Amino acid sequence: MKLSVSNLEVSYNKVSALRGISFEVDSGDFVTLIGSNGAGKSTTLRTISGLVKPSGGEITLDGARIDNLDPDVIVQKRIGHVPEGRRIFKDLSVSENLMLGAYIHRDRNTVEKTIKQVFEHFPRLHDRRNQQAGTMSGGEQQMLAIGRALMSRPKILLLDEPSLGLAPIIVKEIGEFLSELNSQGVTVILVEQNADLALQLARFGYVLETGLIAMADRAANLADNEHVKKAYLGI
Amino acid sequence: MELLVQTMVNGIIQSGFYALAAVGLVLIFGVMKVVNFAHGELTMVGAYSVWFLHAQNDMPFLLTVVTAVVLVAMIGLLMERFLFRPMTDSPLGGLICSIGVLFVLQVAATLVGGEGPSKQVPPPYEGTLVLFDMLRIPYQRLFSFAVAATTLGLLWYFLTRMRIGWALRAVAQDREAASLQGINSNRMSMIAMGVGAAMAGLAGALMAPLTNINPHMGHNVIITAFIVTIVGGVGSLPGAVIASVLYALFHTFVTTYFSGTIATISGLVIMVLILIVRPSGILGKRVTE
Ligand SMILES: Nc1ncnc2c1ncn2[C@@H]1O[C@H](COP(=O)(O)OP(=O)(O)OP(=O)(O)O)[C@@H](O)[C@H]1O
Ligand SMILES: [Mg+2]
Repeated sequence: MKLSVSNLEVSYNKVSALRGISFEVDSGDFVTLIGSNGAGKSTTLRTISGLVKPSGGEITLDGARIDNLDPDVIVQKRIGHVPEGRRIFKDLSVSENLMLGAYIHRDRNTVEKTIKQVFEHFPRLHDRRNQQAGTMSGGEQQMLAIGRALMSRPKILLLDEPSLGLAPIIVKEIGEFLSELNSQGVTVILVEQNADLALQLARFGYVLETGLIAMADRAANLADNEHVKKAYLGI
Repeated sequence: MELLVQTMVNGIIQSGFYALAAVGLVLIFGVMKVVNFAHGELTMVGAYSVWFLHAQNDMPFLLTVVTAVVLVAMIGLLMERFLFRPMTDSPLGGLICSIGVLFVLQVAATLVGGEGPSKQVPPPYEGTLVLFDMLRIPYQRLFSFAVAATTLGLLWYFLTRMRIGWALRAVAQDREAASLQGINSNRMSMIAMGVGAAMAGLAGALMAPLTNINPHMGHNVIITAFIVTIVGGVGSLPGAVIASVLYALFHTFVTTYFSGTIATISGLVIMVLILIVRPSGILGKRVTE
């Protein structure tokens, strides 16, 4: 599946957040969008998954426009979104959260197979399956947010700052998991302020600055770039 | 002692209606974030339907209860589709629309039933159950309570054991995150409004043979539902049910030993006290963020 974003513009009450960005993501890619606060990273992901409607440009999936569709329809196109701040359903149990992640799948076998896979990846979710989701630690909640998105069996997975506020060891765990997921063929689009991590994991990267793509290059090259080093890697 | 036990039983039976109305209100608020001021009028329409169809036109009682529930659910669905949905981004807009519906329904009831004294529906189930030679429970009340309790049980099952129930709770907690799971939030609003209104209609239909029916009877219902909702914690369904039972016991006791007016006033005072002392209610979550 090929996702293309072309000349995408988004504004909130006339204040523009994206000022015409374009990029393409092929099946099996691992790309990252990095940038500072308010650059428009979340807006990009939120527009792809239909939470925000663009004011210009278009988004296509295998050539068909998806930018006018509602989020609940876009999930059915197998685009999963792990939102900023996790947004798990805190009052529901871990397994209820996961079952809701599989809301688009009516086939019991598929759902059972998928939940098994998620539990294999994140055994801690299995231990806590009957626990109220809001009572878990931040790292566990992030695993649940990722697990919930996986329950829809996405071909393209969007992740918005999954490392935020987590201990380095858990960040590493999540990073390894994303690489493994990608090696199994899932396309990953990762948004991070932790550029260090993101550029290690991804193959290609985009630097977003105030609603525009300032740089686009192989992740390794970006990691070596003087400007990127100074502005985002804190070296 | 006899009076005490009898009052207790009356209170518990009364709590069925309160819970039906309050839980519907909480469900609608939880999913749609709209305070439905017309909720009491939905109950009134339920009661009027029974009066009009059963008492005036001899339709069998049970059939009129079902008809009332369906009719009120439809009114709820229309409100969702044509008033609340266009007002999604403006909770105040939804509230004002619901006040409009309140007046429209009151006028409609006056047109159908005319002005004049309150209407009565003769209880279709006569007789009284006598327990231990001292407890007296009219069959009509027993029936109403059984139906109300069963309905609440079914709602509980629906919300905790069924996929759609989980989806409703998910939308109530985080509409956006729910839509990212493929849940159509407009559809969930329709379900919440349909179920919430149906429960209000049922409360009214069950109440009809036991109360005075007039276009303004909704006031009492909404005041009670508000008290119960706030005491139980805004947005907490279990809280609403528990608060209904407590409030009904309290109200019945005060009414029996003093008067109905004092009961309602002291109920409001308790509500205000709870708002001051513990704004999240008995079972409500502490407000975060
Ligand atoms: N709901 C909103 N209403 C108004 N303005 C918004 C809204 N969401 C984002 N913005 C603005 O749009 C711009 C881009 O925001 P966005 O959240 O996409 O940035 P970001 O790159 O994800 O930042 P961060 O790293 O802080 O998450 C910012 O200037 C922000 O203030
Ligand atoms: Mg962001």
